[in-house]
Amino acid sequence: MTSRISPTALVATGLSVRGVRGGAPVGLTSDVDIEVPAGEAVAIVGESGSGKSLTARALLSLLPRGLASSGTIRIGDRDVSLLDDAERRRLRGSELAFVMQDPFTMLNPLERCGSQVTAALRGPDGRRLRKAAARDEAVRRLAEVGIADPAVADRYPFELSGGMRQRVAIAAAIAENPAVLIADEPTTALDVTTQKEILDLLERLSRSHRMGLVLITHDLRVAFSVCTRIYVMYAGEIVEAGRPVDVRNRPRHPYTAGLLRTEPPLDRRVHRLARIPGAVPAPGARPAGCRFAPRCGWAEADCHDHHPALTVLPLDHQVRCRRADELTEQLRPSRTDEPPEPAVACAASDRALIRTRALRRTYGPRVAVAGADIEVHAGESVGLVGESGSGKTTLARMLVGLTRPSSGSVEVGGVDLASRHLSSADWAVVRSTAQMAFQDPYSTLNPHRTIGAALRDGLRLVGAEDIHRRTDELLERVGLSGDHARRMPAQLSGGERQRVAIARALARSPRVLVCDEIVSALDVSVQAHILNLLRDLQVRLGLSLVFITHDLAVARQVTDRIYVLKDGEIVEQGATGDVLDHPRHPYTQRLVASVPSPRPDPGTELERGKPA
Amino acid sequence: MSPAGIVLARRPRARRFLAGPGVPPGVAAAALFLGLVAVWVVAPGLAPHDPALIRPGDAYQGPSSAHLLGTDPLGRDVLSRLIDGARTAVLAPLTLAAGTIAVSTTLAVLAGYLRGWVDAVISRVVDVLYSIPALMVAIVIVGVTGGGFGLSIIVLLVFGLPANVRVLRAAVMERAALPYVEAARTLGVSTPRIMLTQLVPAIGPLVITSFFLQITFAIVDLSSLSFLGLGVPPGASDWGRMMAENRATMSANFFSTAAPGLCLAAVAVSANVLGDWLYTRYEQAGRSR
Repeated sequence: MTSRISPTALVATGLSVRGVRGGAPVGLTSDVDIEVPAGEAVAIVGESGSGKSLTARALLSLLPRGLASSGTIRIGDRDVSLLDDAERRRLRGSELAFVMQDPFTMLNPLERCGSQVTAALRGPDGRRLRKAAARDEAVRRLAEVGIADPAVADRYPFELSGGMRQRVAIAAAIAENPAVLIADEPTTALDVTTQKEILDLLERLSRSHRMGLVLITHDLRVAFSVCTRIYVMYAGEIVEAGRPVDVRNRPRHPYTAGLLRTEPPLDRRVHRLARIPGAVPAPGARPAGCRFAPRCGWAEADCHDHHPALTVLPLDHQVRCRRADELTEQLRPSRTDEPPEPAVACAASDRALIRTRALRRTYGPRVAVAGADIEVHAGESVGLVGESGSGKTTLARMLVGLTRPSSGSVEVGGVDLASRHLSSADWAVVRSTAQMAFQDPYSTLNPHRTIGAALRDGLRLVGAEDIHRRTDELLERVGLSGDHARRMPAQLSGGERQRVAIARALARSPRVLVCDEIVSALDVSVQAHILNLLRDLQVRLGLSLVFITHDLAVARQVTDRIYVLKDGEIVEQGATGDVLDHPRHPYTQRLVASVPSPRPDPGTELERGKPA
Repeated sequence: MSPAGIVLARRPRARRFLAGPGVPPGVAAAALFLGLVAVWVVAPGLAPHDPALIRPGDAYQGPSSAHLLGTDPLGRDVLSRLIDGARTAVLAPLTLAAGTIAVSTTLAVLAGYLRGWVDAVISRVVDVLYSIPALMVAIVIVGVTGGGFGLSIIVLLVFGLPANVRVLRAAVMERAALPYVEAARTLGVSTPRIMLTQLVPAIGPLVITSFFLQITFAIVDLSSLSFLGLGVPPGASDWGRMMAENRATMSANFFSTAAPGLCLAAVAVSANVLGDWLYTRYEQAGRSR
């Protein structure tokens, strides 16, 4: 094929996306330059609002209606901007393929996996493949993505796990041997162990097929683990680009450095997670000078006045910061100077607020929780970790009375929730002992009620006197201001909504707060705010936490003890530090090992060995 | 995250309900027409002639400066009767639709949130009602008892329930599993309060759409009854009745039948257009991604 002559699979120059808001044109992304070598993976990293997904869609000419892009895109030796719509359509799939985040909606639920993989394939005569040939081809393609079982070709997507579905989607995307594969958050919806497998698969395929891989992700760890070049985007532009080793060890842009610091470390508990103040500015409200300046600790007057250009440093490291040269030392990740926190932050008392014995929940033949014994003492933070389907959410729901146990006992504040007859006084005890905050910031608040109304529900139930003043207090306790009470949920960011959800739970002054994956849908910098808030609340209010998470690094930061769940059973428990540093159960060992780690990196070793 | 989300996220927005950029021309026209009809409803005195005045000498006239829409076979002014008839043509469907939706919402919330035997009873009754042709029953009941307008409204209300209860109940069941409802349960909010303060607002957009759709059905059903001579008493200037009375002499004055017919269609379409637009507005006010 002609496109394989050039060593670069894809080059985008000056790629900008514009939209219209309130009648005026608004720049959404500006001047993005990206180069993807054949057979290598590059990452575009950024938080929500950075423009990374828009850039991916612009590369594919798949922008949503109302948005337009400019700039040149070359795929192999063809200039995409010179092609008409029909030619661009032919290009997608054959030269340019796309894998999306959600393996649940990406595949057609009514079509067998095999035919979805081979849908776009044509025989040498330009016709669709015959049935038998198509199936053989599908089986071969599925084997390529690590699905050895030929029966999968005849299954429907709903019969497969998330990871399997993502594999099928990848097989379908690369069916026509494209030159470039663009993967938009391909592993975000997956468990850690599955995530690692998919990342390994993508990396292997990009090498074996000489395919350029563009990985769009919010997760720096994911980017470092597979890519050879990282582009960091902020507010619609690239602020830093370079080799992963340089970006990780010597970040030159304050934003990159901030992102690296907000990432909670897996190996130790830090005193306080670093945060980036403020929020990503919306398109149309971006500062005229450096777009990061309002949130930057090193910003000078000049930074606010002049928009910096992307400058090239040695080792093909690019950075968009006026002070990049002065700040080299300050921006170095200073992870080792900080003393790690002792594992147990609070002295836990002997009194168990929640105690379960042989707690079991089944749904028909399926066992969600198979006999769990857990205890939550006053003032301590307990983690429930495990992958999806491990039963951690079902267990948590039984602690607050949202799900009834099938057998066993759950004592909350001395009341057994498994007993048949609970008086309203019993329920009052349970409600004022344990409250819950939920995972999805977008459905945790009723979209048609104000924030204040949500908080007043709980306050009214405890008979608070001055309800409006108490509402303001609650909002301030979680770091919001009193005037948030009049807003609607749609006006709040994801992080702010989770704060409100926490405040709502606190309205009943509970002793235990059950947090079900409350940071998993948030950006890292926002996540750090919420985790710090929870630790503050734990100390200030003597609150106990039950923290459900799939992210071990997060569990490390907020929990004192953890229970590791697998298929509804607790397979390991103990002090968080002990369990994560010396996992004994094979499953825990596998979980710990699956956290993406940077590629083995000869660069650092070499540099240390030879004089600079 | 979706690209649209990128555009909209992270910006404190004023709650956009009815304010905001550009009302589409179709919606403006619908609102204007409904406004005109509303004026007819509150001020029937605007009619140029007495709508009930029979003047056989003026019968079968086409439009003229004295009678803008001409006269009917009894010599009554069509425009005056049109204006006078607006009251039954608009107020009755409005009452009927409001009643139907109020009862439907109540039943739907009860069935969709409480489930169990409450749901079973409500759903089975709804199923039975579904299988009976509403208008047929209304014709029989109203025709046999001679019950008049009030009874026809009650009959149509009952038979308007099934479709609405089903749609709204499904929406309630979907919302009932969402975290904000579970959070309210965890807080200990009482069941009636959860229904009233969580579920009803949550299905609000759908209730609005159903209401406007129901207006359309109500207009059609009520005027069908009037057309058949049931419902409104003879002599009343009802649009459906006007169409029935004048259709035999349509060749003499086209407008005597066409004007009430067009007005009926326009009210129905306007209600739909307006309802659809309101729904979108309300929906967007609560949508965040």
